[in-house]
Amino acid sequence: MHAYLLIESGGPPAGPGSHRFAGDAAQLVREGADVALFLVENGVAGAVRGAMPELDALLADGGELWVDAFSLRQRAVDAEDLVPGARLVEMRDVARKLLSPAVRVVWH
Amino acid sequence: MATTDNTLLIIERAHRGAVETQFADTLFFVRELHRQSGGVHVALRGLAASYAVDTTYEAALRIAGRTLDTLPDPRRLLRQLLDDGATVFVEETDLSALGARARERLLPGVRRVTGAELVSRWSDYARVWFF
Amino acid sequence: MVFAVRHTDVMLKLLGAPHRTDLVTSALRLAQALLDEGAAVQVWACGDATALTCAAFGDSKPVNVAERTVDHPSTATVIRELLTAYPDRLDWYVCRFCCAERGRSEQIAEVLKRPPSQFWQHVRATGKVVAMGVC
Repeated sequence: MHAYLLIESGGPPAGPGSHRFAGDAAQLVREGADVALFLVENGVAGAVRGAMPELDALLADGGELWVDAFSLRQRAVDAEDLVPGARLVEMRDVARKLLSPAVRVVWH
Repeated sequence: MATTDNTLLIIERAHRGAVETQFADTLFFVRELHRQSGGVHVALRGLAASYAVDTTYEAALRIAGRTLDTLPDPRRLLRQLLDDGATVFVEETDLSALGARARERLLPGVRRVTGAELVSRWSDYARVWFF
Repeated sequence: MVFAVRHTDVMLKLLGAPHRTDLVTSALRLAQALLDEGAAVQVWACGDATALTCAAFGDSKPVNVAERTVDHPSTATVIRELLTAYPDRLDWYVCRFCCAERGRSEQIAEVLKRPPSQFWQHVRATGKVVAMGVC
């Protein structure tokens, strides 16, 4: 099984590209890949309920949604307002995932 | 109420580089313009709406054994700007985009407006600048 | 003399400009987290990211007139400190062409200028590349 760490740094404020990238993540999950989509910087705005509908498909099909706790606090978003299934992570979690030999990383 | 010599500064792009920016962020310069001009009105839209929402964020990072505790702290600067007498608006839509609970943590003194309401007031200002 | 690129676990290919987004902050946070995990890291800075290590910055940012006694380290200082803290596991390269093209040829001594023609040598000398940002 292919494994991916996909990193979205722009989120909805950056325009439609962020939605397409979340759609890419959802497609990889549907194709059987092990996917963690990590939202960081302004990307965390995508994890607010209703902001990025593509995340529903990602989570429903077994993908993981990681949200950077630092970026979330910086942007004053309450974790209670995130889509159910989102997991708050620290950069050390990302580093560990990145260092797993089988994981491919894509930054957007 | 705006006067015909007032300036409306609209801040839309936010969080533009913590480590490299530190104190010298947009609100720092807005505060200086407020001082020089005799008074500005500020509208926060997009993710800049988050500047008007209280948070547990600590503006610090650990890098190379140093705690870099001089990162931008927009809520602190916005409070100072309000204390200085500036008028600060935040657009409702953008506040909502930060989550249902965001409005409960709006900084005292910040006024909520709809985008349409704010645009209708542009004619009250001598200058409207995206900042 | 032939330059031998030191092998690393991860390369952060940093292309985004400072003062636009929090990309630089993320890159530094990620570099620190990887180093904390014991990894060896190289950063290749291209485009406007070469500005981060300009010698002209000096040690500190200009004085904050609102708080004159508070020191605000420059990015050059932050990166120098990171390199000093991890001499065996961190390398910071800047693209020589981008430095010249953007008037940033004077870099701090701790970073190495490399020609873009040798970039793939660095890709081969690392386990993974995180391509962060665009020129």
